[in-house]
Amino acid sequence: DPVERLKAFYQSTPAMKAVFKQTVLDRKGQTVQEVMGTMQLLRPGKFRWDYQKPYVQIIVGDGKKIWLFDPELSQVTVRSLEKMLGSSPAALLAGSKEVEKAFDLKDAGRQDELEWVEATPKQKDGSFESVLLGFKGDQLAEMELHDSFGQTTIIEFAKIERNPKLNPNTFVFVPPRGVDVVGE
Amino acid sequence: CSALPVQQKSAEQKPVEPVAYRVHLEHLAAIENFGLEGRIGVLTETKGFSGTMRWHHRNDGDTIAFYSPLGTQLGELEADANGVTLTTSQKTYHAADAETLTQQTLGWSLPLRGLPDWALGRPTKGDAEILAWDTAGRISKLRQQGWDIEYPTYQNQGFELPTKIVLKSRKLDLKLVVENWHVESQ
Repeated sequence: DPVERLKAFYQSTPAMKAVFKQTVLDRKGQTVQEVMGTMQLLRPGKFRWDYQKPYVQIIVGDGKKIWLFDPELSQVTVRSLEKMLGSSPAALLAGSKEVEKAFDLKDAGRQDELEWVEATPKQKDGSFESVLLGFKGDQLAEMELHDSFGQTTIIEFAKIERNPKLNPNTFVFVPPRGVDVVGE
Repeated sequence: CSALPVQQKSAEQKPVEPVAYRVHLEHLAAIENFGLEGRIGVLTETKGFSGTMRWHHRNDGDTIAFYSPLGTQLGELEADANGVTLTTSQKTYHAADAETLTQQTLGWSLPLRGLPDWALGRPTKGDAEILAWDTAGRISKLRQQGWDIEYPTYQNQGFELPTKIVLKSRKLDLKLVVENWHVESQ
């Protein structure tokens, strides 16, 4: 059942590293954005998404806060993790005790050889309506986000490393000097 | 967000308008409608936002959509002759103009009246003070309607158009990095 599958993922993968490709489709199914990068996560609650192409953007969850850094805009936006939990798929992946409280989980069946779990945020203020997590056994392979405008974000993971040795300060974010920092 | 530390130019030292600027303006005048995709950084004293923006400007109105870094849409602003509507994931808001509507709903006021011209790298209607041009005759510093606007980089998409636009006013800073321009010209 879906809760078990997500729990199996959390238990079997205390840490993860992968390359990802993020494709955004508009409501007519046309590709409107393609971004690539690397992601790392360390349970509970720590994650780092480095968007590399076509632009650089860094999202770090340090367990307490989510830092979003856009070097070209020279701006860092900070949000508290638990307030953002319902609207941050990255936080859902990193999994922490509060996750099950923040999401309703449902089995979404089998498709293109993956077993899918649907996570719907309990608070309706998030930027997405539901997240679909596609598993191969207990390994996450794909993620799909549906927002309330009919847009779909597909994130495909590749070169997945299970339980790699991760440098702890990967999940510490210190804003570079001279950058605008805003938010809590 | 203080205004730019720009040295006050006395009247006689007004920058001389390069000829290339006139040619550049005439070239831009051919632009009818445009679209752009890029990232926007919003900064006030107390709050901020950064994400992706898709803007389609037509002479009878504007459509601007805002997205989170994960590509999920956060809101859509639709402006035309009879007012402006902002749709978010929960609600729809309406007001006479974008400046009022964004101030009410987002806590910062998007200067949509002047923004189409400023985005293209030219002053909007009304008086403006051009503080500096670059060697190609494009504006690098402009002051208008309480905004200090800088154009650090340009790109050529058939037209010389800004890549980075920094707009600073007393209450709000906006930074725009344009990934793609789509220009419809006569």
